[in-house]
Amino acid sequence: MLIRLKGGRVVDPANKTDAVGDVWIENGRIVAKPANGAKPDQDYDLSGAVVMAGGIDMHSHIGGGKVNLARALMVEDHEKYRSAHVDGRRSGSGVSTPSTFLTGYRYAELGYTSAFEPAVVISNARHAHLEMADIPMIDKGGYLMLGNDDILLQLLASGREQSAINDYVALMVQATGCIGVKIVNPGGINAFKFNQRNLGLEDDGAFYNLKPHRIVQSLARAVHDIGLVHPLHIHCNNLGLPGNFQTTLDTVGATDGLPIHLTHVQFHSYGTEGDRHFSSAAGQIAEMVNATPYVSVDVGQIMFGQTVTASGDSMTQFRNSVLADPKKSICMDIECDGGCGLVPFNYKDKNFVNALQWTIGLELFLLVQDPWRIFLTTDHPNGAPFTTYPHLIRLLMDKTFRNEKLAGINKHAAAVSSLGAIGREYSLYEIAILTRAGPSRILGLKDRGHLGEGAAADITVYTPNDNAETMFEKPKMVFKDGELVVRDGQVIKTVWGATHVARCDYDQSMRKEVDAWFNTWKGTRFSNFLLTREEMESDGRSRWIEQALGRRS
Amino acid sequence: MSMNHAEPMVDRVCPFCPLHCDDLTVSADGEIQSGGCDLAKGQLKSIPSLVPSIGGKPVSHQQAVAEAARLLGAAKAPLVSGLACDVDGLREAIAIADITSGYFDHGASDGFFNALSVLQRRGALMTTPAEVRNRADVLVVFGTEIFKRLPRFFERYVPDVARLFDAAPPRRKIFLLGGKQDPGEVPGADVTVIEADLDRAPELLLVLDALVEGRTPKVQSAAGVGLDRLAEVAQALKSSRYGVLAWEGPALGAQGDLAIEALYDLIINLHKVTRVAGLPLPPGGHLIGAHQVGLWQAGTALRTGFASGSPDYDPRVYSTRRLLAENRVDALLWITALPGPVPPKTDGVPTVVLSSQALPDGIVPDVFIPTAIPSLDHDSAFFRGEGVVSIHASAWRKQPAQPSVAQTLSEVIRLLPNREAASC
Repeated sequence: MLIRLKGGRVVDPANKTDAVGDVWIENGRIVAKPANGAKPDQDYDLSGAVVMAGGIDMHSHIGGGKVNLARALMVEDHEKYRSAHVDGRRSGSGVSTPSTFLTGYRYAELGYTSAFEPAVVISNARHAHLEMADIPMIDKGGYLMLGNDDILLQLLASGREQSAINDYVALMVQATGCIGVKIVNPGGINAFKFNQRNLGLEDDGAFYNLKPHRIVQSLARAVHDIGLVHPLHIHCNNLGLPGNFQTTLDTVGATDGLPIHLTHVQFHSYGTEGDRHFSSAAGQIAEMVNATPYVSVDVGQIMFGQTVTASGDSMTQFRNSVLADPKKSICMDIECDGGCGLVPFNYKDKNFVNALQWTIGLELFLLVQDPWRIFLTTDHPNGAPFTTYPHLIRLLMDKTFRNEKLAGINKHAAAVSSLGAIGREYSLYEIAILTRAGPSRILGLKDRGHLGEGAAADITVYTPNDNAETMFEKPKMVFKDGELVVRDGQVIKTVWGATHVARCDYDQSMRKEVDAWFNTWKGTRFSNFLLTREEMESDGRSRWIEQALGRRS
Repeated sequence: MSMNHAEPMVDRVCPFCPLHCDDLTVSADGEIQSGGCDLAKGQLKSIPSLVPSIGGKPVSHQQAVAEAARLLGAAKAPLVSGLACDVDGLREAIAIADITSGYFDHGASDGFFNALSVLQRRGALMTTPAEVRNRADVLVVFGTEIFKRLPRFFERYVPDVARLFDAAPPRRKIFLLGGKQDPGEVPGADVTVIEADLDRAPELLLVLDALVEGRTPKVQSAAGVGLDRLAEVAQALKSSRYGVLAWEGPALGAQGDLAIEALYDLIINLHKVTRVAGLPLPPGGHLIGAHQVGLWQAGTALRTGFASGSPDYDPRVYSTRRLLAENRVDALLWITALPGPVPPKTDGVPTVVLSSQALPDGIVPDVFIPTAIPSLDHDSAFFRGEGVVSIHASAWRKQPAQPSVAQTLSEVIRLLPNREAASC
């Protein structure tokens, strides 16, 4: 079937396009205007509308053990927000941690066609993929958490060469069906199991006597060497602690100039200035990003309201459990691989710390100059649910609106913040970079995030509005792989997305080593643990999109 | 026949208890050669040969499926329970509960909600088997004869082998609190059996907590256990490097929720000095898998109803027992592809049973559909009992198998009236 999207304003930064034109779709792909003058089978007049590639959320906790634990914990969220089954679509519940079907519907209704789960625990990888297989409408992918797993720390502590680390990382990315590697509180989750309660970048972790610096350095090298497109995705040490901006800056210095991605950097941009010894260091962090071309960041903006924080960082989450609202939390040590922690948060605009967090996130968005190296995230659900994105986009595009909101927050926070003095307003073109073109590039999704010939026809059509929140919360149309799936912000057809995975080469001797490690130390069989394409695709809901990669060294 | 067929199959996954041991070696004709326990071998020997039936009369699989779809499609509020099956089966089962505006529960979930209600009110701090295996120097178990229900429990959780962080690991201290029980020798561990009245576990735990905090309780015993014994447990936990407090939900009696809350307080208190974590002992019939799949599909746990079209969680009212006793449901779909709870007797409630097990005398469902045993007969995914690790089980029985739960239920869904589009 040939489809024409006619006469819309095509905003496609990956192809340096912002102009009125037509987009042609055939067999799920974007194609050139037919040379033979063929008439479209379906023709949509989009004059006055804005056409972008489908949105890509590069960091969103959408599936896996900790998300399910958060659903169990946040029984209030799931009682309050319920959605009925209708027209063949499944029911569900929750806003902070929506059930899988709702996750898919809500993303699609916001014009998103892909989302990436950033915290896949080794031993929980199958669970994460099983859950994500029940998320319809969007493509998914996962980042594997390494850097607190005893196998890696043992390899490092015993002085094994970098090539062994590379083989291990390549093997585990493949065995867990992931597309990238994330490190969370390097060494800290492991150290917490030995009752260590804090770990700075240059501190010795318990037992292995490894500094986080060394772990980050080695993993960044491995990710680079084995050829993964997405650089090491780093959740730095000392999340949430005043003064942690220095840890963030030092982490950048720890990777020998290799590309890195710093995630939810808002939570890592805190200073110790002022009466309350808590201040914004967004300026210093933005300055570093502006001066360091190999660094990218996503923000992890907070929004005011109830949410739950779901993290692999058990050390930090245990420490933060005193801040829980409502007062309850979960922590877990997991299988010599990692951990997790769930702490409900109710971010309040009249609370000094929360209000300042809000300004810090926005300052980061506005002070980082290159939109290709900063991504729009709330670290769903940790800063806020992803359903707040339209509001966040308005805050970025509309200075008057932003300053109105700034006037409503805690007065002390507003007074010390530089936010009000920043005049920048994001353009539509820049928003398209932040939410599509940029994430696609940093993840190496060659045929997503743009509208060039040959791209998958993941397309969102918006009706322009002076109020950007109104514009982005209810797309006029969304196409997934060429099928019209959303109209006027409502799902009209359910489809199953694909799963992005990366395959890197590794030396088979590492497979034998890991087999033996599982037998000896875990008492389980690696062969029953590793995921295969055949298994993942067997339910017909998780078609693989594979990045076949070559080593860089 | 090639030589390959005679080769034994290694690293097969046992479906018969929630430990889901994955180190079984199985001969070409399906006999467990190593890695299995007596419970597994016994189950394997007693697999019945079953045929589909309607009202007790043998029919074809297609006829049984059509009748199941008719009964469930005609119901206004069916209950989907049992739920002892693999992940793919669970996905379809919960889909049926949703799209028929019914309910879902697991057939053996009593005792599970004590821990869940505490988690939802206060939280939890937990660990998993590989951590226990490598770190635990003190293990306190509340339960009775878990080593009978989970035959390889000690071998799998606390084996006498080298540990990651100790070249010469110290002997573990294990305290078994519950009824009179004799686990036999546990290699590498000093086991102390403490007879305790677990119906009074909250009292015992409050005293333990006081002892950990260094307070002197004003009692000489708690739950039938003398203060000196409890002081010994408290001291062991305080001086542990990594203590583990394990419990078996149903063993904690009527005040199970209070007991688990007290356990949680104890764990948090012990964090002033060391690391200690909770370990719920795995319930049977893949309950933990049903819990996980229900949570991700509905956003709510077992004992959810869809009467209004959207998920409504009520662990008190929507129990299998109460829904049936109070005539709140008008059909029952019961699934036991894994050894699990037998379907309840239902009077006047149309019942569809999918099972790999023979039913007890006197239970004749309206529709009976035999199912394969996951792992034995078809590749399947399981959550291991602790609920974190899920493993892939490759089939290891060669004889023609019955259809899987997922296959049968997807056929049923296709036949449900006006619900052909309701698959996602």
